[in-house]
Amino acid sequence: MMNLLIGGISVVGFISLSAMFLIWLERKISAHIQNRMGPMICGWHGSLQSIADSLKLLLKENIVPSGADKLVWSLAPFFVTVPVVMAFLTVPFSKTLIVRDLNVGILYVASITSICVLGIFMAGWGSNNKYSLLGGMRSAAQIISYEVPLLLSIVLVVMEAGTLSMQGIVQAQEQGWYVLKPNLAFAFLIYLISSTAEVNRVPFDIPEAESELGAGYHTEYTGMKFAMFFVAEYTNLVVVSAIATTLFLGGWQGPLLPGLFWFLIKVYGLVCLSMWVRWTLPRVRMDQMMTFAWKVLTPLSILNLLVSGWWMVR
Amino acid sequence: MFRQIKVIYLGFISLLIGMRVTAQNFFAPAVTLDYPRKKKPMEHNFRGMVDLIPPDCVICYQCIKICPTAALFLSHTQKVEAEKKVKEITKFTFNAELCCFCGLCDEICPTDAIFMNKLYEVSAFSHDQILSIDLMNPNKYKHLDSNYSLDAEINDNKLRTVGIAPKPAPAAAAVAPAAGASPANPAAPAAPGPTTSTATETKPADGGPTTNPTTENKQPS
Ligand code: SF4
Ligand code: SF4
Repeated sequence: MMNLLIGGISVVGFISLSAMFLIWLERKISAHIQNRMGPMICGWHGSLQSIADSLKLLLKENIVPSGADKLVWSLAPFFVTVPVVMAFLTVPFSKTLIVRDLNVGILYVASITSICVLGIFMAGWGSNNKYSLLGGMRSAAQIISYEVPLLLSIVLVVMEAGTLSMQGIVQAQEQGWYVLKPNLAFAFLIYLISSTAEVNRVPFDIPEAESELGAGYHTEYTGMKFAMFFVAEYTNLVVVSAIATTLFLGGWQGPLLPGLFWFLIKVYGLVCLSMWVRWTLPRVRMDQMMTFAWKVLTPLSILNLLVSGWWMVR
Repeated sequence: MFRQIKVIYLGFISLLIGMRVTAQNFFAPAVTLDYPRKKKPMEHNFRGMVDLIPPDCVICYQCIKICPTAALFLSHTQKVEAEKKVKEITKFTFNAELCCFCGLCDEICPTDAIFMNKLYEVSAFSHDQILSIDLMNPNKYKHLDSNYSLDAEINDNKLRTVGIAPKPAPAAAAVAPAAGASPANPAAPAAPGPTTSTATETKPADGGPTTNPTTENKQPS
């Protein structure tokens, strides 16, 4: 019991720190890609900017829109934030550093992270704002569509490793990372694309498209509730990168350095890749995105699954 | 089917090309400045606020006459000192609100006493702080920019100002004949006075670089 409490508290601490760091990193990377400087005033190269911003958000007034469905509206941020925090409970940071190694770990993560879409839709519905509602609807459609290829690529890893436990999957990669095998490399590519859509990032950011919808489902939120959406967004990014690391890149395994370092290096490397893509690509259209999910990614991942299954039992 | 595969392939390739471009820009130097802390020096032909070197002014009222917006005000008294008439400025003010920054006062001044400095952060806290700026005061623009210094502006104006090329150009012209570059040599002794080649304002090749260009380049017609 005590163990679980300490683990939970440290996970929450890790999440807030990492979200702050990632917000700063994203601002810096985007600035340098656009030949700007980014935040420079607070701390060394603006490194304390996120702390200043969160202090500001803490002190802001909480404005409730007059036509809002109050209960749904105020519960939504929790429905978005809590599942991503809970997903961390089965992520293996190193050989021993894991809160609880469930024997259905990957299944648990996949199911708990899909609760997020409920929170997003609640936020869109409860705000009583057409832009929020559109954002919420788009988000529900998008996340449910991309869940299919995402899970199909995860199934391939489970078939290869023969276990659902996250530690078990990492240990199964002792001979070589899964991304080095051709069929799993293909699955990794599909996973990367669908996870970008899962966390609502460019080029699949149509639920919160700033130029069309204001900010989509979190248009009406202020202060701490808005900060919770923001933290959830960046933590979600870390979650999908951590799962990708665990499933395809050998988790915490690596020479010389301790496991925790290898894990963090890989996770933040994937996060940086996602930021790089974000500041390169424009946004896709809604119909293009749905076509891509149902007509391209899903058939390809099913084909991949069938071919690899045939190869395994042959 | 084949077309779709081609479209996906091309999309993937264009993603890689785009990522290469953004990566190149990521490592390229930033084009913006860390502004309030780092500042860019203004160009040599930048016209900032009107500034004055009080001892150089001969009280000829040329600047007052030419100013199209009547932004300048000048008055003086006459005294007799040791059997000589001496003029003394009693009031010389500048109204930054009326000024259109045309630079005519700078050009007309026979002694180059009035000039335009390189000040560009010119917002004041109150309206009447810029209505009547005392040009005789050496700290006249301290309330706009705390780093303002008259000596630095005068020095800057001597080195690089409207109509005069930046300092390195005459130095290069002086070095070129001494180095004995063969194509330049026959031309140099054949041009003793102001010729057509030196008539353009921005090339003070054999005139002193600190004199006023409007009085210097009188073309022989
Ligand atoms: S710059 Fe032009 S408008 Fe301004 S004081 Fe000089 S002559 Fe007058
Ligand atoms: S033109 Fe020059 S010398 Fe003449 S009054 Fe104006 S500042 Fe003085």
